[in-house]
Amino acid sequence: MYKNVLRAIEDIGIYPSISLIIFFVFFIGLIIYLIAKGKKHWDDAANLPLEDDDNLNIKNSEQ
Amino acid sequence: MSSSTLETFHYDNDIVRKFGVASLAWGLIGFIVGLTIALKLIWPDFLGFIPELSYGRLRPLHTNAVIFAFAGNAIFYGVYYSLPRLTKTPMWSQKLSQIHFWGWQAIIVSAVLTLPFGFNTSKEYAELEWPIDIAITIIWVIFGVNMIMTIMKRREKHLYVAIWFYIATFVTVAVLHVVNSFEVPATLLKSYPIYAGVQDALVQWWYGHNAVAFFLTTPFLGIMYYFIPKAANRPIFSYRLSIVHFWSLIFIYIWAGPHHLLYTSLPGWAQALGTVFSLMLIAPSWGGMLNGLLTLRGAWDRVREDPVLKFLVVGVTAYGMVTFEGPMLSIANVNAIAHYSDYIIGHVHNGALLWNGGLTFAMLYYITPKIYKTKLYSIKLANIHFWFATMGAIFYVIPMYWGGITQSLMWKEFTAEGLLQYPNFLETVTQIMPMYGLRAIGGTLFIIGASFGAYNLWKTARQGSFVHQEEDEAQAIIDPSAGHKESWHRRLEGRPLQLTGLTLVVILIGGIIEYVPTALVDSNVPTIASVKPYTPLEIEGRDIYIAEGCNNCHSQMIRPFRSETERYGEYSKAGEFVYDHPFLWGSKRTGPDLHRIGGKYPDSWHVRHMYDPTSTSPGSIMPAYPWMFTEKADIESIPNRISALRTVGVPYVADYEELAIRDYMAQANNIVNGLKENGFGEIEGIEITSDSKIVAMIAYLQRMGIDIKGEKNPWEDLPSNERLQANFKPQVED
Repeated sequence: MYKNVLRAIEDIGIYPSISLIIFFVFFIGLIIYLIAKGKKHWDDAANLPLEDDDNLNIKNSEQ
Repeated sequence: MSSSTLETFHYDNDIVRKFGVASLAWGLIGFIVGLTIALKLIWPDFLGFIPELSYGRLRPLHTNAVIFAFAGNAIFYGVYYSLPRLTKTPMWSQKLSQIHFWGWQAIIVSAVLTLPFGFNTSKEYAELEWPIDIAITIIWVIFGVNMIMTIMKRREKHLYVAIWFYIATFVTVAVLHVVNSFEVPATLLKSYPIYAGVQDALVQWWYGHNAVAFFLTTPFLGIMYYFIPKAANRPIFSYRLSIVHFWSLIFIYIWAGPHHLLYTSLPGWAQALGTVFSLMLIAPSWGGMLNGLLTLRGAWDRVREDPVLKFLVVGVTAYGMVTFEGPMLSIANVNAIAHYSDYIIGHVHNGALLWNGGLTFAMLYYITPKIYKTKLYSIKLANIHFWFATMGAIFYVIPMYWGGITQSLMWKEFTAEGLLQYPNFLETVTQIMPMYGLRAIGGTLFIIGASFGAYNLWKTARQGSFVHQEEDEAQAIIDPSAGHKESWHRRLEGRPLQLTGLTLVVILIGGIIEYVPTALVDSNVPTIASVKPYTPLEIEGRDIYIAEGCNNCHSQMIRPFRSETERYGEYSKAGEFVYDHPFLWGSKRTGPDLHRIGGKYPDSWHVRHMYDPTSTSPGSIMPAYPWMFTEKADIESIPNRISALRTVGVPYVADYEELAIRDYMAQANNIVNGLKENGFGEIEGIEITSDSKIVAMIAYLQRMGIDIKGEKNPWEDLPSNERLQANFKPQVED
């Protein structure tokens, strides 16, 4: 029965196009947003893997 | 950070070590099984003709061992090490960690105890039968719960990019596994998928492709994003690029599955979508690769000395090569040459040996000294391992590229008169035998290197003292979701549930749009009136074909090329597979396509060929199947299997179970009598009986691909024919 429901949807072929457009809009929006925010905005996040004892020690010894 | 609010806690290194040891141990076993089957392609009688050690049964064991045991345990190794350190909290539940570990190993052991014994579903990388599928689901959910709860209890508000990749891995693999495992059990270790033919193929390759994406790629990208900065002691080249990388990769990947089915009977629109998205995939893949490699800018001198960085660099570079090849292989006319050939085998080993293998060994060399509070036993030996691994992979991959293209071009070569230049398939096989030899050498080198690695790690462990529970301290966060002043993606990175939800939505879009129309709309699969369900004897034959793993070397999908229709016959139509649960199109032609094998040779040819392939085809590298002549077919469970097949949609009449065995024996007796008349009542002193496996196998082989000709109703000579006729006819609705 659910097959008929799906078959009844007209122009089902347009759905892939719509999802592609949604993705591209999201993608372009994301890039604009990232550029606008600048590199510095993410510095602390990027340093997360390095925040542990070992590296603190290395930093200390380098100073 | 004021020290007064610091909390002290302990990372569980025990579980990390367990997964590391498991990855290494299963890895070595998986590699050795791989080498074994590589040698069997050179010397088919290597290890004799023992059913449990035959090529078709060991090949799935090899792929499953490498993907789920070696790479799988490596993923958990990386996650259980990096996730607690990135969230500044131990894993949520040590008990769940243990259940996860032992459950996963039990699943691997069950694969070892089923695949060589002929219990498999035939679906590549999803070969395990239904009870194991259920176990995988449970264990995977336990892993996911443990991971998500750890994230919920974190002390670091911000979720680092590696964690997003782990989350995407968990969510997507869960969806893939469940959707591809919808099957109806017939017996304890035999099931039939609810999908048939084209639909089954689409779902399987949606799964198969995304298993590569979300089991062999995303978790390892997470590992890359954690361990490259750790090993290089500098942050990732561009965090912003990693955000773009993540979202575009998981969105695009899920669409690309149909590139495994170009030129097949899959509807054209699905093939086109698969190609377009595969080409787009190069952008995020290379973005990620460059992000990893550029992290090392200014630190390349250290790559010369540090084996961890060496393995990381060669791994990420191989990732770049493989993700360039992938889109190229998805272009239809490239695919036309590479598909079904050893080129693909080279392609996947480039990924498995260097990308997954490289990152796994990098982790092992990085983590082991850390958790044993010592230095690596021998950097020199690790460097030797590195060169063995790299040279091994090169000696593996290049001969496969060479051999694959050579053989494929030979398949397509025509003479000036318009005839096939190499009409005998075997000629194209013997041509590339030297390449099979080189491949085995490459594999051997890789295994030797890995053994050095295992020794080095063992010695490292011996000289250090293991820290079971590693102490760390961090400030508690009061409200993980606070931070309303932050920009939206930063907020999202602090909200694991929303991030998980959005990830799920993103991966479902492509899956639903591609899969739903084909799965549900009947008109996508044209129906052919003369195509009928299999007879009971043919069902048994088909199940033996699956059990023996024939589909590992033989396709059942003739593409619409003149070179293929000349060689094999009429190209395959979607409507021919409507009763194929599962589809058996195959993905590799080590031997010829079999879709039109039905009626091509007399039954006696199959008797001789299956007993000793070289007797009909001198020089053949196909294994012999002497046990098919002595082992009895499983006639007892035929009624159960008829029921299960009816449940998945094959229109057997009600109560056909009661008639099935009578039909089985009638058809089998016909074949045996025919063989006797032609002097093949026995072979080498073994009498061919109606209840032997070989008779069922012959029935299936002779049935393959003949329905479309409409010459003979396959049910004609069966006792139940008249009762069944009415039921099989009305297949065409419109």
